[in-house]
Amino acid sequence: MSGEEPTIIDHARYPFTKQASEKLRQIGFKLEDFRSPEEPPVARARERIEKSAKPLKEVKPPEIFQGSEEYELLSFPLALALAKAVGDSYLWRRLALYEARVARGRLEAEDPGKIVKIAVENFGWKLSFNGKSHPPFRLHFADYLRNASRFREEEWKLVNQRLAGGYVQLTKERVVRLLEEEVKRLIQSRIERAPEVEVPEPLRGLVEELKAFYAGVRKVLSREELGRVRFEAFPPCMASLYFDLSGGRDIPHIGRFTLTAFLINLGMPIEEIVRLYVSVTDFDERMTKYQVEHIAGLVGGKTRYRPLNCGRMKTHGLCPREEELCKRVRSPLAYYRLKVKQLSKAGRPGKT
Amino acid sequence: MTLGEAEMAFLQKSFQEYYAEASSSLQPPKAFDKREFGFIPFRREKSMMRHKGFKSLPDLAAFLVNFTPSDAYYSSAYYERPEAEDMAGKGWLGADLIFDIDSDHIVTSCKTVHDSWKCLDCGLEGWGVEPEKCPRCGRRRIEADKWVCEQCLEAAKRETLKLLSMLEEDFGFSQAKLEVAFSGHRGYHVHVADEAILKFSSEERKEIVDYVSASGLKASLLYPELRRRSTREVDFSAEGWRGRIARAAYSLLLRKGEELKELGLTGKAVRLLEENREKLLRELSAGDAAGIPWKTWERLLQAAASLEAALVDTVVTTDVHRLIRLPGSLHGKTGLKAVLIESRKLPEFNPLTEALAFPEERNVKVKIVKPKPLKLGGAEYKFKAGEIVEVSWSPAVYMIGTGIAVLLKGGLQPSEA
Repeated sequence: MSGEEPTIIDHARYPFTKQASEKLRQIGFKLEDFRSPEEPPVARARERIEKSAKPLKEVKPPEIFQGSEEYELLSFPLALALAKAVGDSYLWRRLALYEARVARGRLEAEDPGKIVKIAVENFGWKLSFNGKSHPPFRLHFADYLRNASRFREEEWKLVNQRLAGGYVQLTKERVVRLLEEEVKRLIQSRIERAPEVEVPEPLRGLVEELKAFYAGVRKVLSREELGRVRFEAFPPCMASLYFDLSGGRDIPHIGRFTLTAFLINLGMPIEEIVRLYVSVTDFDERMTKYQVEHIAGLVGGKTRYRPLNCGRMKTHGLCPREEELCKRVRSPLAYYRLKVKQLSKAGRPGKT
Repeated sequence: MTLGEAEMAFLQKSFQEYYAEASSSLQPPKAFDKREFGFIPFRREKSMMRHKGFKSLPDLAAFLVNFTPSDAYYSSAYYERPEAEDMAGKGWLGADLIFDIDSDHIVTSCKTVHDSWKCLDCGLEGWGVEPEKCPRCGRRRIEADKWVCEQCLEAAKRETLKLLSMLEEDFGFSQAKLEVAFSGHRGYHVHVADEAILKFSSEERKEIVDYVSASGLKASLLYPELRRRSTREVDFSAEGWRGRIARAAYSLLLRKGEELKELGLTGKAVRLLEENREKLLRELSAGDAAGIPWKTWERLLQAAASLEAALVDTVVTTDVHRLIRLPGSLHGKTGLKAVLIESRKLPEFNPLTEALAFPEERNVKVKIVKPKPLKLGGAEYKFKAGEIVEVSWSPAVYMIGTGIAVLLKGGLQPSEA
């Protein structure tokens, strides 16, 4: 029932909530109290971080066994603190993405009252439920847009919703999907805003391991998913788009377009590009395939698109910085070709 | 078109007198000291003076009298330091939601009467809205001569009314949160000041523009049951776009065959609709569209959406640093007041009589150089080129500001007022 006070199980399941934070204060959570990476909450925190490297589609909420609720709860702030200590913003984004997806998985199984309570108490949403109307949830359009304006699919556009008196009518599935966004932003900003972490001596080795682990994840991501394409020859703009995307950060439509066109022009197979999008985002596989094929000129207007040139990249705010090599070229593709030439001249694969 | 020295001096003098009289009736935006102000001076170089801030209304009023700008603007945004010269230093605190409805962007039949264009390369001329490139030589150097008439302003008002009804009914903004202003020239501005939208980014504002202009609207998403053949219920009373397009689709069915074809319906579909019109309308009124093939019904709904869309300028709404005309100030071209209008009074509002800024009793002699149809203050003016006429002050300012007339030497009566 929604009126009841949350229990330790609730805190373990939704450790990002205000009540869970309050509970942690009562417990007196302190990083320096942990003496070994083997302690159950620490081991579980490590697991959280490691799992965040997996493709989102594979994320399932882990079971919480009876008696382990407190460990489970403690492992959440621990994972955030360890991520902060590792200092890799890519990891921060992935962890926020993972935790939010876990929360969504759990919320999908909750009764409506609980969903409303979490949304209202933690995010100040104007959300209500009425079992007699269909769809049954009503959410204020400002809360809706704050989260849905990042989605690119037509069925999320406000104009395709039922909006009346300032409220959008939504199904449970959609409310939970929007909550996932909110949870993601909350966790990410919590890590970003946290003060620098002083890691106690016994856990320093673990932080180093996680650092190496995530550096490995980045490399594997670039090697496995890119296939023959040489990531080390990417210009800064494309490298940054690529990591933003794989880190679950929203990139504007024009950015996705130009990255896709870039990868196609490098000869990356369509299926691999689709896999890249689908594994790290929520994009529908069929739709993504169609769009990628469109850019490749296989369907639709049959024009094979090229990525934007440097001038237009700058206009759209997609050029992060100019490197020495950038001054010699006028398009990201030219940069790549030149860089590949340089790298093979040097006779060794370059470093990213 | 550039104004002559004498004309510019006349306009500035007129504006100054207006501001000296009217400073008390200026309608300042709320959170006055958090707004950036911008002004266009009466000068040949019409570059805008930006980043001005005022602590109080008397400060602003004094500035308007002393400096007497041709146009005055304020920011839709609230800033910690409105006078800082770069955006980063201003400290953005949020922004009102604003809409610009400009008759220039609305297709009206009167445009073929009062608008014309000329190709600067081959000299071809034509009436109506200018083409993107010259139909004869194909080049793009085209000079447009535009005018605005009562019909244009009515068209802009209709769009504004559509917008207002969506803001009130769909978005639930109370009338107290909405402000409507005549722009002083070709259309209307709508301002929404509400906590809910204050911090919206361009992306969120874009979604609102798309909503009111039905951009990206998919009838099949609003009616997911459309493809299920068993039921095709029509939800006339539904709120939002679902009901709006159903109601408009019904009225589309009353149209002639050729008009239906223009909506993209096939010949077969049009024949079906025409032959069974009575029966289909009867069934529809009873809430059943099953007699219409679903693809045809979907097209009708989709066409209905573009009829009901409010044509607003996307760029203005999505810009969170936009400067917008200050209500109560004068438009530099027309001398008309950018007046605030209570939204419930908009249907009766007539800018060509209610936005006049100058007293009627003074006359000015002007010479017509480029005759255009003009209706102002209840009078209709029809002149020939070269004619010398004496008109009252507001039309004189309008004619001189828009360049259809020049000041006759000594035509200005000494002001005693």
